[in-house]
Amino acid sequence: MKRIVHYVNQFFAGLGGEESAGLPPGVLEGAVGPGRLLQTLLGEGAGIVATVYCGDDHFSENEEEATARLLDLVKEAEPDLLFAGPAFGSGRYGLACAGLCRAAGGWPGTPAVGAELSIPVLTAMSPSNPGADLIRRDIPVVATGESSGDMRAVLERSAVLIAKMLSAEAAAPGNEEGLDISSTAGIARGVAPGGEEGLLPRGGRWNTRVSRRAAERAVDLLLAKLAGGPMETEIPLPPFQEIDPAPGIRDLGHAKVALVTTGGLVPRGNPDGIKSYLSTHFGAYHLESREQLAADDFESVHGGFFTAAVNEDPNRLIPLDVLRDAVREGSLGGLHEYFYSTTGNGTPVETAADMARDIAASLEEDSVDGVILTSA
Amino acid sequence: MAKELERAGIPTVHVTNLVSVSENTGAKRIMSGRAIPHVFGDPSLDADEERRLRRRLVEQALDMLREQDNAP
Amino acid sequence: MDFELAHYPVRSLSWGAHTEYREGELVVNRDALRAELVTEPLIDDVELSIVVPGDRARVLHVVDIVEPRWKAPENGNPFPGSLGPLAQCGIGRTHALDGVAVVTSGSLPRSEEAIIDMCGPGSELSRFGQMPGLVVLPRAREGADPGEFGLALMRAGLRAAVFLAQTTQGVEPARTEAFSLDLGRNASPDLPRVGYLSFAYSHGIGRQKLFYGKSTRDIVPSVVHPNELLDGALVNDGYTKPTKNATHDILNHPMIRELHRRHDQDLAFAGMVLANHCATYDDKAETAWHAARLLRHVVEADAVVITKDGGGQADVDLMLACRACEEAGLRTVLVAKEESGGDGPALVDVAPQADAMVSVGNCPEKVCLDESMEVVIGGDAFLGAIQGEPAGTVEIPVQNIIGAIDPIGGSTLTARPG
Repeated sequence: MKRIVHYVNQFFAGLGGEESAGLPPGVLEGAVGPGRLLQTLLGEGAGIVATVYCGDDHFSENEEEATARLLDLVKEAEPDLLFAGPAFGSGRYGLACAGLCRAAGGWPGTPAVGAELSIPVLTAMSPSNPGADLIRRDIPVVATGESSGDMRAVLERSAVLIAKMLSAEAAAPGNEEGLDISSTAGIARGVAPGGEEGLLPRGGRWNTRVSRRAAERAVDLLLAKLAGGPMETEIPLPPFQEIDPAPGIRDLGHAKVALVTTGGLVPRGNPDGIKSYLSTHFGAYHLESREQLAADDFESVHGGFFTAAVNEDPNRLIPLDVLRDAVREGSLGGLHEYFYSTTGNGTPVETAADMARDIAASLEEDSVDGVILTSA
Repeated sequence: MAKELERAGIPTVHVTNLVSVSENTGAKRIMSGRAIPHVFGDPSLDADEERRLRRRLVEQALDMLREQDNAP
Repeated sequence: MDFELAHYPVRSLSWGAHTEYREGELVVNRDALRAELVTEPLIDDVELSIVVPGDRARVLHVVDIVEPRWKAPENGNPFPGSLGPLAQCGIGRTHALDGVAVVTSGSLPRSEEAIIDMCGPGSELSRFGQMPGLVVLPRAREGADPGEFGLALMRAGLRAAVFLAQTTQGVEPARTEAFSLDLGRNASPDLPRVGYLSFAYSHGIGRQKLFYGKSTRDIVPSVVHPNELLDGALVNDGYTKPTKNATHDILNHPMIRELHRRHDQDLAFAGMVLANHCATYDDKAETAWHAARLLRHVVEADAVVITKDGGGQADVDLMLACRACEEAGLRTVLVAKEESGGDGPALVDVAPQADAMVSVGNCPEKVCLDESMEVVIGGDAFLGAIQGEPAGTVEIPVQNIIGAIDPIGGSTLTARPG
């Protein structure tokens, strides 16, 4: 018989409602609360050997310590799989399920890096639960509604998935439509997100095997496009949104201009840890009284172009030296006192737009009239 | 990024060598830089020449921020 | 152009006293092959191994994979320019040993890891894990220039391929396959004329494909006959690329074969243009324009499939070519590998005209190879950022399993939102 440990909060452990939310981690023997129904659905092949629990407030106030303690309790029960929840729409409960699952394992076939146990894990919560966003990339999450009304349906789906994840006799990989390749190596071949099993999509794009080779699909798509009928591209176009240009600057001699770059120029040592690829944040660096950007002080951490020329002379990316000349000579009013920097490669459009909105807000505060944005 | 700054009402000139990439993102004022790895310079020139080139490029960029802008 | 491939299927590969091909059994005299390969001046010695599907074996640092080919001397040679003297490719008869691979391996500067697993999940993802391989692992002569040694290593692979396939001289083939293609407009007037634009990796030694032995770095877009690529005109010298097409792939070019297969069925294969990925934006824009010009007015295509040969900067070429072709009135389909490291975009650049794309997979997505190996050939550590024991379980980006992601359309992998 395969061994399962179930995680629930104080309420589903039957230890009280909000008044007991401060309960520290603990363990109960066998199945408790929703675990009893899950046990019935699982049948004889798998048994819930222990139920670990923690009060929602206790977990959110002592996350690190509570996770470590819960993990110890999980380990003591020597499980083959950890199931957490369902947490439905409850944020604190969802975050606790997410935190414990991340520490214990990951998607079957792609053991989560840094997980301490590396066993198969499964949890269940609603798509809007903050815990879901935290882990859906790394851990399978059964989609639920906001309240425990659909408990039975959620546990039925979970039981099917648990059986699959524990099955050594999983489906052999092949060329069948929709096979998820990350699971070809895994404990639970064939467990894929977003399908009829009701797992939350992970976000992003993932490899899959289909029945026909790309060459054949490409020619079919071309003939469909020529015929003018319906066709389905495999990489959808991003939304192209037209905007009206902002009004231009009337008098450059009295205008203040700011410098922004996606070329990854940062103070040497990269104090803000701007990533060379897939950057999610930007740095704001004071120009101080610098007449130029010296190679001794700045470097590019961009991972997508030959940075040697910029590292030799950072003014080749952010032309501070000649802009100072322009201000001195009066052809430009002034410079905003910070420059802003991030790396542009691999960054999702929405993330870049968020960064731009943040930068725009600080520029407006300082009444900046225009921006020179440089990219590699 | 250029598009969002422009949308926020701040005229923004995007200096890049990959002009079509910028066009495809919907940027409105795009200026072709000197080369992909050094839009505002050229290591093959001597220091004075390079600085003069950079000044010319910067004047061109500033000009694109002006009211009679080159935006379509 | 009339080209014929004579097929000699290989069911088993083994060492023996005489090098011979008999009824699907390929036997190789190891010493004779070694003697043949050390004729290359920069190669001191060669380690030779055989791997077959099911072996608990992994090959590291794969440089190239070649299908054994032989041609009667009066018809030219299998790899003109790259190994033999210049001769026309894509006409007459060429012998091919099917279902066997000559695999070259070596530690070369700036190499990206490429592995072949002969068992487990890695073998399920690549056709090269499913056919017997003869692994050629040359040692450089002391003081050899690494770039020149890389070219010598490439030639060693071609040389071994010819050595193996010349065993079919005078042997009746199992079957022959004809590639007759009249690119004239009158072939099938009612069918849409479909062209093919093939970009080639082209950044110098170890970072390029060779066209009749010449670097593609400085070529201008050229009309070539598709049969030429099926017959050794284009050879891979691209060990620095994470997602490689081996010479074996080009010799069996999936896109060209698909267009051949459907010629006079539901389309007319109008011909193809070979172009390179230039280093500067201006050259890229020029290349796109020339490619569109040739496809529209010389190949006279109505529509075109475009494949790229790289990531990042290659996306810019793909999109510029798409735009130039669509503006010239050609409908396009683009074949692209994706580089989505997270929730990021699949491609660096997307043109509004790129409304029809086929994905050959997401390169950085990791696969867990959980089969332990008894034999590791080619090195004692993975190259680059790949962590793990070469004989043990490893999480590896799918692109580093050579053959899993095929930029010219030979694999069934694709990427989807999930």
